[in-house]
Amino acid sequence: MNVAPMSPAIRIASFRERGFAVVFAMLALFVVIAFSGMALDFGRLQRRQTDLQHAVDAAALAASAMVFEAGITRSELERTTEALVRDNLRMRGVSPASSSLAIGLQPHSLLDTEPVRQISVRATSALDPLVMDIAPFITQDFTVVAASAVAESRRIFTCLAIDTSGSMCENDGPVGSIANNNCEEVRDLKAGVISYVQLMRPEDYLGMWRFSQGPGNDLDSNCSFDRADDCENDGRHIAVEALVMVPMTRVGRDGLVQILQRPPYQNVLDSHPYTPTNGYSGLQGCRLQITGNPNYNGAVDYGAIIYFSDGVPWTAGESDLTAFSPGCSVELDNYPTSLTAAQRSNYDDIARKVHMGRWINTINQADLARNSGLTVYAIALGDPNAKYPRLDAFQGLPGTSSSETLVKDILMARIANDQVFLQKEFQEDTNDPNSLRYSGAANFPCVPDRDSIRGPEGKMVQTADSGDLRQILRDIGLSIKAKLVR
Amino acid sequence: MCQSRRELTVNLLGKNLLGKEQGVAFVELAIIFPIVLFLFFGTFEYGLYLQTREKNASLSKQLGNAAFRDCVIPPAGQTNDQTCLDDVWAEFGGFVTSNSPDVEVVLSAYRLNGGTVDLRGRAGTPGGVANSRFPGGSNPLSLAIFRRDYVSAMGPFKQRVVVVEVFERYDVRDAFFNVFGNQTIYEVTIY
Repeated sequence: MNVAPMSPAIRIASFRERGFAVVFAMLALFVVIAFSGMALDFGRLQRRQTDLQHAVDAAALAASAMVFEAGITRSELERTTEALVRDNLRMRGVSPASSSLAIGLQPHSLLDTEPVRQISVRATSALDPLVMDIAPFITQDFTVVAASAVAESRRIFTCLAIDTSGSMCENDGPVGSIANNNCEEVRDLKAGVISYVQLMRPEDYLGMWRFSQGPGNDLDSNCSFDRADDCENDGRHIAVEALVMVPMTRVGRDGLVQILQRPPYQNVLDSHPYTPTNGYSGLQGCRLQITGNPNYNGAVDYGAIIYFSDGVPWTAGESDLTAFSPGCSVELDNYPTSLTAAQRSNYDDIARKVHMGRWINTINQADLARNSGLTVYAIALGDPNAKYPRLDAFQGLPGTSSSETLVKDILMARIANDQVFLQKEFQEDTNDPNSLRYSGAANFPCVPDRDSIRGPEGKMVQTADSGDLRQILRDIGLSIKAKLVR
Repeated sequence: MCQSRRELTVNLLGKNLLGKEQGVAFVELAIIFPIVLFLFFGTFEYGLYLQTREKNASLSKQLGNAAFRDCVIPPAGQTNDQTCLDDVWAEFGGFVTSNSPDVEVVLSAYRLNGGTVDLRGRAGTPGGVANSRFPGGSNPLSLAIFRRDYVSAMGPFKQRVVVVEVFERYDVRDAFFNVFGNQTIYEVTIY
């Protein structure tokens, strides 16, 4: 069979198809390469962004700690801040020449007289993308990345509301004794307070209230426990003592430490009547001390109350949060105003109500402090080693379950408005469905929901070892003294 | 039955072309496929590499923040930098080494002492301490050299510096890329 030769047209067609395959492959390869290049570019941009952000964060925070160095000028502060950014960039392999910086100090003062409160650092850096600046469909400029940070060094008004009840002197000597000055908790607390004071600067203020309980003054009978009642006008808080509200500029940091170690203040923390605590008065006193200070400017200063207590909720027999449910008034009918010695030693329903009432009032006072813009920190002390001869860990009553510890944590978190803790859900014993169960927002003590708690969020710290107090107080002090605000 | 000229041409041509296209496809595949694979796995590998760097950068920053707050801010109460760094490392070291066992970390504290800069303390993993790119040992450096080669911010108003370095040998997961060898990731934060 003869086959006619292929016509020229068909030969051209076959050549065209083969060429198309090559062109198609090249186009596909080009697209794949372009997208891979974009992935690389995005990675490099992200990387540069991270380098810049870390550098400006570190420099701004470090600079905020230099603000109060004696003799430092604004220009020197700017120079050092800029140098820190460039040091960080250089050591991370970013050429300082490719970056530009802007340092801002607030409040701005040409006369160099006002103290700097805020340091803002903004850095931009240029880099050469592989494909993103040549891709026609990308219009955004990807050749420059930027990062910024603002750090504050604030004037701090701190008030320490300190539990000095008998259980704070638990380890050495008889209960409530200050024999040989060996009260373990108080001794540790003193060390913690001193370490906190050492972090403060001359422009800061420090106040201190101790609270315990005087006989016959368990609770203020005139206090309605209404949330609008701040219980200020009753004159019954005799067990609470104001210590100092000292401007650091007057005595200096070291001077204040010495004051705390010398008479008459050395013994301020050493009085330990055996009584339940009334922390609400301590919180109230602290609030008034800070907000009543003529130098306190709530708009720019930072006010904080640090509340210490090893107090116990003493809700034994209930082991739940019923009494603290929204309204906070379930258990307050026929509320007793004092405890007899027999009631103290023989725990009963009346005693329980008294203690629960104190917690409720303390929560109310913490809310009032927050309404004034103050941040409340709550430090819950306990003792897992049962060194206290009569009481078990965290001062739970003999024979009671660990639910009291849990309730105590929840209440202390509520006092501090520690939303990280309050939003949690947990159960005392996961093997026991009837054990105390806390389900976060559904169980907020004394309020229907978190939105009912106004003001700044604080932090609750629980420790079973008073030896931790020094570190806890240092952490709090450091976190509020120098801070990245954005 | 005779085929028309057109039908015959198409059949023969189709068979002919089909055979040729199969060959072309294989050749093209042989060329393109490795490139596509290279790009695909390369992008993937690069993402993993960046992710590891981000992790270490964050670790460096957060450790530096902790060390700075504990060992740099308090000028009066803290006198022993070594103890301070040991405390910081004791607090975070276990977490770091358990979650990132391949990471080497070193925290260094320097302090201006007259005209020289002293290394006042160092803590971290043994590998981190051995590999630090910042000056070690007991011989102080002159302030001028320290500023030129390491931290230019050091001076009368910045007398204490904490440096956190993080090292990790990045093992290329894809054998395809072993030709590039393994990379040492280095992240550092200076407070």
